[in-house]
Amino acid sequence: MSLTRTIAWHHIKCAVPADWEATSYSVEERQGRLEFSDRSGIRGLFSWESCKREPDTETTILSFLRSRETGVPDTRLADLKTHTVGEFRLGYAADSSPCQAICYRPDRQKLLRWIFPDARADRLASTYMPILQSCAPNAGSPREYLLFGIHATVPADYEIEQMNVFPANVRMLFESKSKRRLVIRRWGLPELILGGLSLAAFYERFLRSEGYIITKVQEGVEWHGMPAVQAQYQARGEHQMDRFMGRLWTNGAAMLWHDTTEKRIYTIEQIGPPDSVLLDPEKVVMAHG
Amino acid sequence: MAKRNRLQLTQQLASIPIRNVRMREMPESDGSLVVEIDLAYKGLLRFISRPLKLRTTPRYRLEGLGLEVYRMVDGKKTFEVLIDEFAIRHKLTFFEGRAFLMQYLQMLMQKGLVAIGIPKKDA
Repeated sequence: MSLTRTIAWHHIKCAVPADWEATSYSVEERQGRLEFSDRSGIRGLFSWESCKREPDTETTILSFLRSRETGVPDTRLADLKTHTVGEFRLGYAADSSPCQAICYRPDRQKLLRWIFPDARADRLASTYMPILQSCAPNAGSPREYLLFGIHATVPADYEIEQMNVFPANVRMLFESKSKRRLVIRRWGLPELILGGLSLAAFYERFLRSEGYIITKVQEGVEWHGMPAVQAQYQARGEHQMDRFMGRLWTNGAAMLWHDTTEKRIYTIEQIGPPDSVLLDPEKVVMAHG
Repeated sequence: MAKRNRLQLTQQLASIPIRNVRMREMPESDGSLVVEIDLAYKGLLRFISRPLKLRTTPRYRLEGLGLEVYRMVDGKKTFEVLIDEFAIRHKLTFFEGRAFLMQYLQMLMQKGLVAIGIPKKDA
């Protein structure tokens, strides 16, 4: 099975089969998980957690296999079959029982795990092992986030703060240490979203509904050959005295573009405290499904 | 409280949405479709529906995506086939298409326009 869907999230970049979709996610960097499903059910689960020391791999896998949910509570250490695949140590007891792969990243003190629903030889060879092989760290600056069709590359001081995922409606909110905010959205079914309005009329209305004060809207622009709209806006400061005093941040920059081939609408909105330098959208967003 | 049976994903995908055969369709000149359905009240409501002037033949106008989904329902295609068709047409992923169709079909079911045939678990 070819792995054509690329994923980039906290601590990992990897490739999974094209028909695997993320069906559950966590935003927290400290601890969380991503769940992948296809139409037959859950296919894989990736999780991360803080861990000060490297755990004993075999014992950790064994205790997972012995847990009630896996259905093999009597597994002994002698039954455990293990392989090293890429950075991961993969372990399982029987073909029909789940398998777990573990990797410890000492530099970030993180324990990464993959859990797959079975350990059938054909699936191990064609899918699970190639996924583990494809895993690479997602560290340093800039850092990539690629999930639900949004591909963002942001400096390391930007943290993902919020994510909203509805059918064909995804929103990622990043915030930097200096309180700059970056919002990336991706909508499907553009005819339904636009409701007969032009891109400019729709976007202006949308930004107003978000509570922004629009100062300029420029239509007829292009973004990589796609019809786009640019806007400037002001919004009430989000932090400390700015919020308390109701002081406006005036440097809001927004852009919407319509990828007619992909049938998606993307937007990127940025704002920050006075005199803050915003990111170049060209370097932040890569638009593809 | 009675425990509600949740459908397994495979069962859900194998289910077949069916249009209400007792519904009357009236195409409009603007491309939309008006459907009319006879409501059958049960129990006490059956007797007091007339004096209370409760609606007996509600009408609904279907247009846009709602109409598209309604037209896709032919009583033969499974939910999975409908999702695939819808997802391909609108360039959605399988789960995006599934979530959209579930929402629309639920709405059509609540109005009594569509019913869902669910296969037995061992089928």
